[in-house]
Amino acid sequence: MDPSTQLELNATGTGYTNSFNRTNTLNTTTNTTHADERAKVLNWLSPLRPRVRHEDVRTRRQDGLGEWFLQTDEFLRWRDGKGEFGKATLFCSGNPGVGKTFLW
Amino acid sequence: MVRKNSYLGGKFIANWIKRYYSSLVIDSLVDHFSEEDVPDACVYCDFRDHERQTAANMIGALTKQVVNTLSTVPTEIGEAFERAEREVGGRGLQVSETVRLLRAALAPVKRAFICIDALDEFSDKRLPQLLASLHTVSQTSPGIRLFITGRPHVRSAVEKYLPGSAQVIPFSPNSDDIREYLEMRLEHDLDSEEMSPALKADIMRCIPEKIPDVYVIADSIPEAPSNR
Repeated sequence: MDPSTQLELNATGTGYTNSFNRTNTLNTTTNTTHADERAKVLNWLSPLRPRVRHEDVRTRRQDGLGEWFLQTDEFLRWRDGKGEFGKATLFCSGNPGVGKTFLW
Repeated sequence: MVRKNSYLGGKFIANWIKRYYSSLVIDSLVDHFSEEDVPDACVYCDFRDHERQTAANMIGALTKQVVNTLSTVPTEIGEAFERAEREVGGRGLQVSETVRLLRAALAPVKRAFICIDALDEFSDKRLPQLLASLHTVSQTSPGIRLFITGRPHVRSAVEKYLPGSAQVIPFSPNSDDIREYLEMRLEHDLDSEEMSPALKADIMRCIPEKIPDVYVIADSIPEAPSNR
């Protein structure tokens, strides 16, 4: 796909066109312009940048540490959606009986 | 000395490990579904950022990440942006609008994962609004799966505002996690030569054994500066 059309109407007609087509009519559309328009929408949605925090945490991870959690039945059932629909949320918390003495 | 104290700050270790697991879960989902179009979005609650961490901004941040995985910006979101832009000075989003836009972003996908880290650090006053918003989204987007971490006192709120949909699992990082964390910090410490082998050995022996007690004490100790 031509990158310049990335933000235009998609095949199912559900895409957003308006602000991006304004530049098309002037024949000045550039990839940068589209990226800028997209960035404006994304910035408007929220000023928070959680991916920055995520990248910071992940760069300090150590191979293997915590992998056991990803093999637990609870996590796998939640991830694979094998449980009933009603259990769409997995809440990991410290044991209520332990309270503040619990590590988490 | 402050840096050394970070090894002994149970709260620091606890905060680091809980964020560690959220980060691990997110990346494992990305890896597992790398062949499919399965958006993932996360937010890390932070008690130091209550002013900006409103329910609207949090839901908006999730929406932003989902949109970022789509090839096109959904029409509903693009139009809402244009309407807001037309108002003098632009207009911020209300939480009800962000919920509507998140649902619009999720509409094209069959499944998606949303991770909320450290819910206990989110503002108590705004917590019901955030959870109720997530509940609304999950009810109208059946393919959505939520992963939430938090300390026990927010459990009742989770169960109240996500009625019947939350599986609660008690979680404790095992002692191997704590030892590996300490080994990593000691290994990466630029000042480690200043520390005697005996002190290092003491840290590796005492901290895993004492971590519950340290955690109680450390709750009243200011968190040591981290690299974050």
